[in-house]
Amino acid sequence: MDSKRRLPFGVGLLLTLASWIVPGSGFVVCRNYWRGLAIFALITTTFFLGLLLHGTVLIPDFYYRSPSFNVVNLLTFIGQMGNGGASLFCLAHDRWNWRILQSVETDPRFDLAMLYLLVSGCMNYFCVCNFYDRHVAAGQADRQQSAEKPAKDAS
Amino acid sequence: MTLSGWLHIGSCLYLGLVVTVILGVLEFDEWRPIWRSALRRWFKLIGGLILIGVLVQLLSL
Repeated sequence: MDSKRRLPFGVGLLLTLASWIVPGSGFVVCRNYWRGLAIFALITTTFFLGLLLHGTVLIPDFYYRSPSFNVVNLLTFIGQMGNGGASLFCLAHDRWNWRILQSVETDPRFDLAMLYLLVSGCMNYFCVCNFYDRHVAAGQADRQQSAEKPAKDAS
Repeated sequence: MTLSGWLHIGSCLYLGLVVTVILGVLEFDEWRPIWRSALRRWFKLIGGLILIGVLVQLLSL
């Protein structure tokens, strides 16, 4: 386990993006295998269960005069996009009609399925922020401290 | 109770567990404190939900 590994800012940002697309991937690259795999398993299983309940990620109506335009739909979409790769797959699936998923908006379980996708996305936001704090922001703080220390010693 | 009702109750238990385990995984570095904190939070969450459910039932009598 290497939970204290600090990354350069550019690499850290890239791995943060990778963690958004594939949950837990940043932790795995930093050799924090058990944490990355646990996050991947929990978040992906939850998303997959949402898909099994005939859910999908839908782009909300942004036109404010539309009857389906509301804050809940917008926030649901933003939350679901937290699981980047899977959500982008759903959006691409709807855009190009790949006919792999069977999402049915009129299905009585559709709202429950959306909740699964929402929980999966929101939890990945937490994980991405935690990865950034542990491996990128902490490294920045360390570098700042070590840069200030010689200046203090010299004075 | 219908299948849909059981599905909602099961989902409530499962999603609560997922949220609490992930919070534990992010907070601690060993499995024992992770499970301990996850179960403690899960029982609190489910207890709160049961309390709300009982209140709603009583108020709707």
